Amino acid sequence: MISIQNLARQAGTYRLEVEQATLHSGLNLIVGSNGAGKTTLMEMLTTLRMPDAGTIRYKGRQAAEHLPLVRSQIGYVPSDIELYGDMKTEKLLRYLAELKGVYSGEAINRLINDFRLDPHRRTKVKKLSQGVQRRIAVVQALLASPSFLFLDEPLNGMDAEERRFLISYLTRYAKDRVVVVAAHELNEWEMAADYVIWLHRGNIRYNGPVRTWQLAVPSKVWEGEISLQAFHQIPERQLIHFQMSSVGVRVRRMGESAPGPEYKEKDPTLEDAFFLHMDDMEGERF
Amino acid sequence: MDHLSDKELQRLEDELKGPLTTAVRQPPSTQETAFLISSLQDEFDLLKAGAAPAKLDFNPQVDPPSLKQLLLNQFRLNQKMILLASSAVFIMLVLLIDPRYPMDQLGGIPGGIFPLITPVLLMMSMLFSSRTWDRGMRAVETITPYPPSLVLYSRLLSVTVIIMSLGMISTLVLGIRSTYTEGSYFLMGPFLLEWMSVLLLTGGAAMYMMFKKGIISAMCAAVLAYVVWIFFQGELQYQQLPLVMKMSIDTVVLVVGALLVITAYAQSLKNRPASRETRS
Repeated sequence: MISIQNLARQAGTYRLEVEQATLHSGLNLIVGSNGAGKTTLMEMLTTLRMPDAGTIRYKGRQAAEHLPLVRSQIGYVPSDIELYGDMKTEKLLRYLAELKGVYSGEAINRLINDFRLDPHRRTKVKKLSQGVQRRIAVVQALLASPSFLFLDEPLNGMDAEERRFLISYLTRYAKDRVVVVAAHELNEWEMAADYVIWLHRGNIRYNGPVRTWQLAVPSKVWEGEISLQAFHQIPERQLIHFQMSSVGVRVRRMGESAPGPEYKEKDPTLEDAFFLHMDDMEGERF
Repeated sequence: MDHLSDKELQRLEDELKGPLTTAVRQPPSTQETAFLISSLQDEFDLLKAGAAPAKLDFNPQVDPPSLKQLLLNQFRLNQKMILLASSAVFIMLVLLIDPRYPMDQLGGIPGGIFPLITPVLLMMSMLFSSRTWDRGMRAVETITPYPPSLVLYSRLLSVTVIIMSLGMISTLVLGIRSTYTEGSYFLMGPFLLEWMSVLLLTGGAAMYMMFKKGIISAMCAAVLAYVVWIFFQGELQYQQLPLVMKMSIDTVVLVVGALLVITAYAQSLKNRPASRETRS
């Protein structure tokens, strides 16, 4: 468990302030629009940046007092990492493993097999596809089997199969460990996420179970198939998603009551919940 | 019936009033309560310890920090690039030097060509190996159980060791060439001492400053040490000192350089965790 108390850090033009938050064992999803403070929070959680004020405790230990100890339990996958392209996959992983104090080759071999990197062992990283490079980036974070794993946009550059595999792997890994994922594609994490940390303009607006966040939406979600003419009359900010169909347009929209007989109420997805909460926060209620 | 039962109960209560009064003990005094609590304190502590959540331990998958392992690790990372570049420069150096007069100055600049080139090579290699330019990779390399200063120290030291080893090999080659060259005047000891002293001085200055102010200051310190050394060599040359005196001065510079390297190591140890203690 990670507990945050009175955290503050000035990051450029905005200030990240977290009065109190807890990251539990399981998969914690950090959500928020661009510039909300996701990366700043992530960098403080990974001990890359120290807060201007406040404390972060990792199972009772503060990073400022026990930095090497805390870091021995942290794995991090940055969103924009350019691995050493001239190194071969296995050599790069060996180098990073040793830098983390892991000298046994067993962990590397196991992860190479788990992440299906075996055919790329002796290939230079720069010759590999973006998806494979991303898998290597994830593997390096898992080398020491850390108790706290942080991933910033881990699905970037991965194909559908790789995404599905990683989400399922992390779901299993998150048992008894704290896994924190900052993501934009929320629906992909729908089945995997246990908790949500919603950041808005440098403040945590929600920190708790996913289901509670979805149930606490300030509006309802409706789905129905309507004519093109009716579709054009929907205010843009009420529209969540639409898709052209043979008879008209399949629409997913928000509203406090049913917009018409052709609509049926739907359970809000993670992405719906994000839109609805954001809409409420921006004060654009309808 | 109820009325009868009430009467019986009342009678029973009256009969037992006397014996019960004597049987009931006085409530415990404050001192007795304090004694009881203090005698149970150990049990309370045990319960408390059991209830408190376990604190984070050092990762059992991770070995305690070791300079030797770090040096090998950093050597593996940079070996190919630095070895290739350094070898090329040293081969060029060896070939450039006239085996008949290996200790001749280069264009009037004090000191031979070796003590001029090796520190420059060291500074360039240090700069090259100090950090990656990629932000993501830098982040990944920062989050290690090693004190960050120890990682940097090992990088700089591994580079210094590589350059020094290559320098020694080149000196040996030069010595062999001189042996087989007619009329050659080559004193290997003073030659080795001269370039090694300036190499250690610049390397030591960089390592020492690294922990105080970072890589840019480290490079500035190395350049400053190098420039001061060149200026000092010019003065020595002007004064036409005997060889023994010159060697003594070079030895002092070597010792100062070595001390800077050792002090830098001590600095890096200051932030090092007491690995065994933190593991428990």
